[in-house]
Amino acid sequence: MKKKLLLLSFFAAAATFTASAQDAPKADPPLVIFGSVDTYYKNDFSGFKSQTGSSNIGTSFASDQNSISIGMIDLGLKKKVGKAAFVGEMSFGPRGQAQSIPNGSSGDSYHIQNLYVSYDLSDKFTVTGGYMATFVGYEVISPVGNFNYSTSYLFTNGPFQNAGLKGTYTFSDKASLMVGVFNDGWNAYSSTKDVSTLGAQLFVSPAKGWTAYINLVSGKFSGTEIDLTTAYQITDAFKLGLNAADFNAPNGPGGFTGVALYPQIAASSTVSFGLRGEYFKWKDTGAGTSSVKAFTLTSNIKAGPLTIIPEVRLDSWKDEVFVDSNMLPTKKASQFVLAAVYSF
Amino acid sequence: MAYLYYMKKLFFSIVCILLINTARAQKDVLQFDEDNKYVYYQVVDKKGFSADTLYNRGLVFMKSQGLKGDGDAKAGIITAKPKLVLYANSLVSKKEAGEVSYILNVETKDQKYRYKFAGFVFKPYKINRYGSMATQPGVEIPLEKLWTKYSAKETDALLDQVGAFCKTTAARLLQQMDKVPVLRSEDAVKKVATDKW
Repeated sequence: MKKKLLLLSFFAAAATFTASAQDAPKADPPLVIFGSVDTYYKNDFSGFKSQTGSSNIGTSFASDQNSISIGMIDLGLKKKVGKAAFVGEMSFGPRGQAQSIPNGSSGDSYHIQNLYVSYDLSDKFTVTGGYMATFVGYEVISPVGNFNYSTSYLFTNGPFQNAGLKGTYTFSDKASLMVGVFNDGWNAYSSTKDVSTLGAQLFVSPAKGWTAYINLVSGKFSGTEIDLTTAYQITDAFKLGLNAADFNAPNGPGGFTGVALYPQIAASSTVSFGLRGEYFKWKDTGAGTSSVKAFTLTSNIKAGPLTIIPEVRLDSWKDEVFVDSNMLPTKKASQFVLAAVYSF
Repeated sequence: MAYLYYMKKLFFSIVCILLINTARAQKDVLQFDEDNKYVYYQVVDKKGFSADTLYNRGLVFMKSQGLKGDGDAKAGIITAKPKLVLYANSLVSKKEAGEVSYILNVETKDQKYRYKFAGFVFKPYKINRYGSMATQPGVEIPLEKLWTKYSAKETDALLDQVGAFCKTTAARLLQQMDKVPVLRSEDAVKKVATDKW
């Protein structure tokens, strides 16, 4: 028995040291599974609940009034071997389905966030093709990518996704240029008529911690949007982001213009606060214009992969587009959201 | 009573295994320099070898590892500033946690050389809109300060990977400087006669 125990110890030790030889990181990462889950509660302070269950402020997601509701479960797979890579990301739930991606005309209901392949033609030039999150704008569909849980008017009215073929040339870690051709319509798996939207993105990093993206998406079918998205991590604790965009609708007047500022401060390694101040204006289509000022104060409280997001928001339109607690028209609306986002 | 005796022995064996496992922690191979920064450093005597020979072997090593080393032949110094991707293990998959930029310095003199891995800075990844992991501009954590942003378990896991990498890379460097040929076992192709049965 004694000998057996000694042998057991010896083999266990040998196995331990053998395992340690495998510790060094490998060049090609394995197949990666990633994603997120999000859920929320919202209360519009007017108490107004429409027939569809939503409330006054109509930007994307966090829509259900006085309800504990779900966002989406987002599941992605990705792999890179040598120079070739793919990403496939699917979502289920209101945020990833009806609220962002329309179902197909034939009733099909698959909900792709990203589905593309890419190939590094050289160290500096990469070609990517498929259905991708849009390159335009500051905010994204996935709650993991946003600081605020509710979204801006600029995000809601801009593209969510574009299908196309793009090439990205990286001049250095301070500058790159993307140019691509995309389907005529935004947020659709296939084109309506053709592949006639031009997309371009110039990235520059003027200083350490400062990134700026100048984006253009233009086509006869969907219109033209020019967008500036920039963020500057000024200190370890303070970050300032800015999004400005101008959109001209296709075939006639109309469109929007707006700007949003995102100051964020980290109070500790787990708690941070951020404000989004936005001005958004609809362009004149002959029936006048309208504009809104929206302020959103958000906190991110992190507990490992879980982020708790309490948020207060106040929107003030130029016109009386909201209703108050007496169901009378009003220019202002405010809401509270408590969300939880788990990322893996 | 005999049962109890063997239980004690078993317990002792398990403790030994745990101790071995603890000793295995690769973060322990990292040292602190005089500025309290993590380094992986060694001076190696190479009697009978000139600085030039060692310098050239150092350059060959850099090339063999795909590192862009800036060489100063006069001073006998080769410097590379590469980066290393670190991974976070979860229950079902392994994904990139971030990258560590570092400075690898090889300095040669007659009869000896030294190498130093230093300047470790961790840049955590965050998933971007395209489902790719990317650094967050301006977010950089010196390796010594990892504990201020991550739990002890996460910090240890990241440091272990850096330690293991330094140890492995240094072993390759030593091998190159010694010019020990890499032995590859060549398994004989097994052939079978299918026409005779």
